[in-house]
Amino acid sequence: MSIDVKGLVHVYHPGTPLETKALDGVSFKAEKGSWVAVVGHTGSGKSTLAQHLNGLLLPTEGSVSVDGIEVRQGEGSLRKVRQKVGLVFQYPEQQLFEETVFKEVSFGPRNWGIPADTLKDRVEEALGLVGIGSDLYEANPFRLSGGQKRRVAIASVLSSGPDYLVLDEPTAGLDSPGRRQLLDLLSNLKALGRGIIHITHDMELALGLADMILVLDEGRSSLWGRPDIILGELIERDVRGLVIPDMVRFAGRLRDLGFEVPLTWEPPVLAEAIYRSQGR
Amino acid sequence: MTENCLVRFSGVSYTYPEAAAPAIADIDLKIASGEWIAVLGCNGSGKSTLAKHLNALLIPTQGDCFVNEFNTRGEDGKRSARRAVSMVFQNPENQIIAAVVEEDVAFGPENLGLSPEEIRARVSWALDVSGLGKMARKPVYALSGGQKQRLAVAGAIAQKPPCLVMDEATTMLDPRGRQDLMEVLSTLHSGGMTLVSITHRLEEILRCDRCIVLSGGRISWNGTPRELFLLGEELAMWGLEVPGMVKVWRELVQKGLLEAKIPPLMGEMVEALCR
Amino acid sequence: MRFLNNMTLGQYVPVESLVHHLDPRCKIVGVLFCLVGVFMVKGPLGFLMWGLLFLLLVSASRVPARLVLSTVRPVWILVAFTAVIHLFFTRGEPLFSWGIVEITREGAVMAARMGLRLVLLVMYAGLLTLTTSPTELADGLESLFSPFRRFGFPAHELAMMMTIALRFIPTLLNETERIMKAQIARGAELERGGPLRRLRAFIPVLVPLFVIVFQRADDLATAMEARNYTGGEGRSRMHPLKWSVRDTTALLFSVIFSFAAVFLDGRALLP
Repeated sequence: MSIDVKGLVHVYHPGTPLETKALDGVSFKAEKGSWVAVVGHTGSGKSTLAQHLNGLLLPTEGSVSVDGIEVRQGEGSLRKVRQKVGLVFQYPEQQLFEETVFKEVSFGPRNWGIPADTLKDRVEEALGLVGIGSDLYEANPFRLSGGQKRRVAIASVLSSGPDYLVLDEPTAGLDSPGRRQLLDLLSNLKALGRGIIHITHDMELALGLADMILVLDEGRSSLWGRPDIILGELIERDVRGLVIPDMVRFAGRLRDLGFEVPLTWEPPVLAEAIYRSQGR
Repeated sequence: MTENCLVRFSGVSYTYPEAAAPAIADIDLKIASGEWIAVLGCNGSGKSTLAKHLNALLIPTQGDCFVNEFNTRGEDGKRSARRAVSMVFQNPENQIIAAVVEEDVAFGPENLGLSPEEIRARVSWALDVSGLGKMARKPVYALSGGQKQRLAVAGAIAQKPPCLVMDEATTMLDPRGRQDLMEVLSTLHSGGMTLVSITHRLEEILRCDRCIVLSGGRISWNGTPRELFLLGEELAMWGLEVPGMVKVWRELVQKGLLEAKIPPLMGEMVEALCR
Repeated sequence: MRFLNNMTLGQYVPVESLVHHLDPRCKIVGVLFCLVGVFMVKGPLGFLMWGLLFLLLVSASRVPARLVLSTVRPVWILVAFTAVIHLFFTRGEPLFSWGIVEITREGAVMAARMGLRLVLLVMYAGLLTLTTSPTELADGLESLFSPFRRFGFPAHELAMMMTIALRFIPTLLNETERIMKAQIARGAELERGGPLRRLRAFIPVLVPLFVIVFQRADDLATAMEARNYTGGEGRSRMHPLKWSVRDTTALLFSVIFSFAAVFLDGRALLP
């Protein structure tokens, strides 16, 4: 079970003077129960890619398939795919519109025609996952704190029961406690067997959390692999379109200077290695 | 009272209309001219409320706030504060008024009623400092997010204020945008401008002279960034997270491999380790 | 890529040209005369004259022709609709009939006339916004309306509102698209059912949009206040409006051309 993206090309406004190629031959695979990070700058095509994963945009060339269902117009493919793949936009709290938290979170399942008797369970389960208690079910979503709003917005996507969750920069604008809480939630969802596709510009975050990393640069995939492989690449050579985390650059410099430093993104491990290397 | 004190808060509290508790309480603070100070704290700690007092967008409900020794409560004080302190806010989209880069930068100086020659000189200076010198006639929609935020900085400094407040101004930028913006701030600081960075990202305070931590609307701590990084439990309590590089630095300092006076910057650390 | 997404048709293109450098007041009044003139011509000669003048202006403005053409795109449907209505519903001498559908000579003429008129109107107005920045446009309008200030007419405030509106149209279009997509991703079906159902289906888009607009307005007001804005009083300009001989010439030309086009067009149509 996986999302398979093969040779994906997307051209905006084809055949007009405004024609632009936003994605140019991107391929990768996101398995259920794994965490894939898509890393790149603003304008690298990250958000365009995200919108292909649930059929909001359709490929100009290449293909996207979800658990074997090809994403394309017709035969109800789009509705099936959208139900399987939940998409959480950047600043998702801006999409809230209902009078109560409970109604907000039941918007998705009602659209998908989930029967009333299971609806309540769905909503409660989703809100439980994001850590919103029953005391807030009848609260006005606009009166919640920033972090709570974001978690309600994510619950409103989870309540449709997606197998995959695509999140565009989900930690943007959150402070550290809010960020920690959100990342714990995503780890938890992964442990429950959901596939996480995490779109971010934060390489340090990706290295620490993802099972696989895709680096996008101007619409092309410039790297695809496990974090340790990616880390090695980052230390060995300049990767276009990336700001290399300070710690990685630091480790690289020390290696050049003859320190025996392992490939790591754990600060204590790096410090320990420097200590031992220096002692000798 | 020292002579070069630009901003002075004396027992400042502010309660928003209809709010039960004050957003900030009993703030005593002095900002010296030419200083780069960071105001840290998690969401809801009151740091943006504090920032809005610096140029009289908010007037204390208790206590007094002085800019250049004028109390911001009076009309004179308000005008003086507006001219002495410029602000850059979180979302660049929401502070750009004109559709063409140089026309937006001119907005502030135009409000001051300056002569066309003076406005043009300031606009071109502000654009150069912000690294947008070549984009003067570009439409705003052609700029990236990072460039838009630097445009907001240009618009703020074109009023030639002694002090610039960055109110969570890096939140919406990507790493490259942040890097470019930090460069601009360093240039301004070395040119003698007083800077106030409101943030919860400790990555951004490495070059600051001093930082204060707000928690629950009160000042909980005051010191240099390096002293802050060496704290333990407290950081988590205030909702602040130390960046990876600083964690390495802290471990090395605690292991006695680095002196605490070496800043947690890559170049300096590598040099010290090789000695 | 962002650049193109954010670009709305008909937005200011900052290049250096004779047309760009004209005083905005000259351009606004000149275009008004042209618009009236376009509305008053009926025959091929009139339209030909307006068409040729337009080509001349476009080449003098140095705005890429494709951008000028693209100003018509948003109103294309309206143009087609108007033309079709006139084509089928004008009574007169039948040219062609098929069942109950009948096309008359008068209908064909009216359709062509209305279509051309609308296209020219939009393109002339578009050329104004393509060559005049919103700030200049606002300054121009403020100055033109300033004589009415003594009757309490808020010239500056209206001009400032217009600048801000023009500045935020592309941003709000982007926001709308983003929210629509977010709700579609949650299973919303925005384009099914009758008008009432569709209206209801748009509530999930409209409510967030209102919230965003109010938030933006609030932020923008704060930012303007922080930048020492206190209204029109005491404001100066980086580029003060300067009326030159060039502007007088251009305005005179447009007035004379309008009269000439209407007059010659009328004469050519005489039996």
